Amino acid sequence: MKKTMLTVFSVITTIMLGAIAGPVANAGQIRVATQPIPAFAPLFVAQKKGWVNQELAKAGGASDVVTFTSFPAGPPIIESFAAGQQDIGLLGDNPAIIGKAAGLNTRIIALTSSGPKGLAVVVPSRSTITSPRQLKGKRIGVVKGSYAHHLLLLVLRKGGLSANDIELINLSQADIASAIANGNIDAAAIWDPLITRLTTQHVVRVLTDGTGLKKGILVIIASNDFLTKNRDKTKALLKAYQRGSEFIRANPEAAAKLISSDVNLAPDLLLPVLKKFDYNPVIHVDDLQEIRNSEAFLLGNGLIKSPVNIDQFVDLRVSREALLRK
Amino acid sequence: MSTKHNERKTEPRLGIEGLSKNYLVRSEAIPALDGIDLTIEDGEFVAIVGSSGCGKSTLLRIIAGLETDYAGRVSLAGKSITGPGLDRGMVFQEHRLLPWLTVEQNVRFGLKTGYSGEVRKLVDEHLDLVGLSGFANAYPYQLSGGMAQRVAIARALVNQPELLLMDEPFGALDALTRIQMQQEVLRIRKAEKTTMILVTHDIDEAIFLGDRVVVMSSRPGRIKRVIKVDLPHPRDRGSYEFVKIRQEIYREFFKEAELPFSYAI
Amino acid sequence: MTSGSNRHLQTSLYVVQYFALLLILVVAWQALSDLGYIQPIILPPPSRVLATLWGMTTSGLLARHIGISVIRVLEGFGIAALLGLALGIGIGLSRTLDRMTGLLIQLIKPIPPIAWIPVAILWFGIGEQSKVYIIFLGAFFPVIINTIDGIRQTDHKLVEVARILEVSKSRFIWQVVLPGAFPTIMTGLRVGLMVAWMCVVAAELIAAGSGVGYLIMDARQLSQSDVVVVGMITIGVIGKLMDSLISLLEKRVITWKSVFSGV
Repeated sequence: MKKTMLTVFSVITTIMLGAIAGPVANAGQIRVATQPIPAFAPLFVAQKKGWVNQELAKAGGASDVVTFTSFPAGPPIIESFAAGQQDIGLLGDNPAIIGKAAGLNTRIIALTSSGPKGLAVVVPSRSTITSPRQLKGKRIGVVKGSYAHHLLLLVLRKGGLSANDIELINLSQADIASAIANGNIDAAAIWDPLITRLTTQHVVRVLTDGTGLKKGILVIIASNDFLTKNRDKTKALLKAYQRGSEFIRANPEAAAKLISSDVNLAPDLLLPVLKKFDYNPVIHVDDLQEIRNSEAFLLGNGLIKSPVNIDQFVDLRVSREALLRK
Repeated sequence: MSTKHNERKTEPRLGIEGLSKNYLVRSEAIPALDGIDLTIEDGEFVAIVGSSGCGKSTLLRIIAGLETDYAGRVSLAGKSITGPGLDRGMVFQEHRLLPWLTVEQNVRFGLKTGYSGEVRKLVDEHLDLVGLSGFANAYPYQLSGGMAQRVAIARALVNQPELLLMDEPFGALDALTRIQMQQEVLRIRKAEKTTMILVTHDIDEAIFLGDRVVVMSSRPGRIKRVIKVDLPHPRDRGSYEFVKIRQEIYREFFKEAELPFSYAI
Repeated sequence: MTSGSNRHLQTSLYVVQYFALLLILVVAWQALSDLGYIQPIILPPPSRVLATLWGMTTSGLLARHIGISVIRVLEGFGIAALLGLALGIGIGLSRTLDRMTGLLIQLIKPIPPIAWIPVAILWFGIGEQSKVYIIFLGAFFPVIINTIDGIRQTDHKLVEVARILEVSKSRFIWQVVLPGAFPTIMTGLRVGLMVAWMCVVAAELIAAGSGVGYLIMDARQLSQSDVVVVGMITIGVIGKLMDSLISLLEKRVITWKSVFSGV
């Protein structure tokens, strides 16, 4: 009996220790979490042009291996960070804040882009809805906790409505696409490339995008651990990102051709989308205010339980050091 | 108690002619029964005795109609037997009671579907017949082996069959209970006067109960001898006539030198 | 002969044995959390989980979601039980029907309910029906397979008795086959209910706005791991309660058997 108890106990302890230990990055490995969306175009350009490794080599990381993992949205990236599996992440400001509120030790180090036209509330092309007011009582699909969710509530507010006036359906972008095509939902709040894909297929039309409501900021986060140990390499990555950003500005057609497969959008469709975004990674003061607005939205709607101090969350200096002093 | 005999119109003569049966084992025909001829009269008690594998159970199952693949003719009151039926009740070595029915419900189960008479009375009568009057509401799992077997007998008799077939009914019981049950069968037979065929490997049981003992040889199963037991009931297992018949039967199975008569059986 | 105090000791020992494993795990969990070995964002400490559980219970939130999920499960399970029993009995009793349906059943059976979600959405949309359908699928196969099995297992010795007694077809089914098949059928129902409950999370992946599965998915999206754990515990507890209920029902009905319960 005693022997059995001992065996059982040691088995359980081993399992628990295994769970705690968690995965650890190999030395010289940099793990980047990203999403296949045009908002992160500079990253894909930098990747394809080899600039990522180039800049890293300059910062002493010539032998480093950068792994890119693609996720369908921000919240799964937060999960991956929680499991200690990522060092750098690209996602919307909303999920970044949610992760911080939940206890992730991360910092926002740069913007990926801003683009109020990159997110929108859409309705089926045959829909009779022409203004936000008419969304009352409708079924609306959105990725809960995403920055499109925030836009939705801002749009509702514009129409004098609140979240209680609609039926919010939590769906992934993929499910939203089929749900709105089948008429299972009456509207959705989504981001590119889905907006472009669905509008060009005449499945939906845009009711309202972020213009005048939400700047549509997406951010780059880094685990604080990684940041403190690898500040130079982090700056190198940001430099690579900026090079990608400049390339897009100078050669949009070439860029569209180059990264078309990374975002699953044909070059001719991708080109106008690239023009929707401002790819400057440096964080400006009014960007800070946008992020604060997002935090207020999340707190006010009970999506986070404790407030996040944005000034402490955002590290303004990294991007400035990396990109403004040449 | 039983009004059956006053109502019976035909004599249940069981006629078996040239009965043969083969079993196919890996495309080889193994004869189980070979040329069985037997006639059983109304009200008779015939005991069939033989060692294991001599086909006696197969013979009984054919009479019961559970086996239909055979050569020869088996008829009851002149009519060929084509399948199982209420006219031939059967008691097996296992009691085969329905575990989810009470004793009373199990006996009732034996009644023909759509029986319109006084069910309660008939069931009670038969419970009384087998000496289990107080156990109507017991479940089979609560009964001893002997008691369960008695319920099986009551069930087999409740529909008043022409023939009662018993396939080693006491084989699973201990020696003392066996003797008890043999006496019970005699009592029931006296009361009901049903024609009975008993298959057993117990020679003493065959002699104790049977009017005739059919001795079967094995592989293939044939009737070796039919011995009449003309003794009055109750029979004394130690009486001279009893022992003499026992000796006769033993000679059919064992060579002279092996006769185990110094031993008490 | 155990005296009164010995009996008390024995009962206490049984109680301890019953809860010991669980208690050890919870204590270890809390200790490791306090020592900092477990990150709260991945697995919050029991103290946090209990606090959240308390909050959700007193606000009635948990009860509401549980109620909605339970109703869905009962709906799906109800349909599965009726269909499974009816078809199972039919197939069990008819060789022809068995031959005709056997292949289809064997092909569909291994497909996990989650894999059906896209088809469910296509056929039923994203409302209640698609969720009930997923739950139905989970419960259906244990019920029908066990029903067919139970009927097949009918003791052929009893079948011989029924033939001799010229038992009518309906009496045969109702008095010989079904009561004999009942324990196996009961197992099928029990397993079916369990699977139905486990499927509730999968079902509520389809655009649910309520229910315990939704609670977990939603909390996951918002990195609220304490709510996720509360959801998981709730599913476990309710599942256990359902199982105990059916066990009780089973014992009540099957009074004619003595059952083996361990050395």
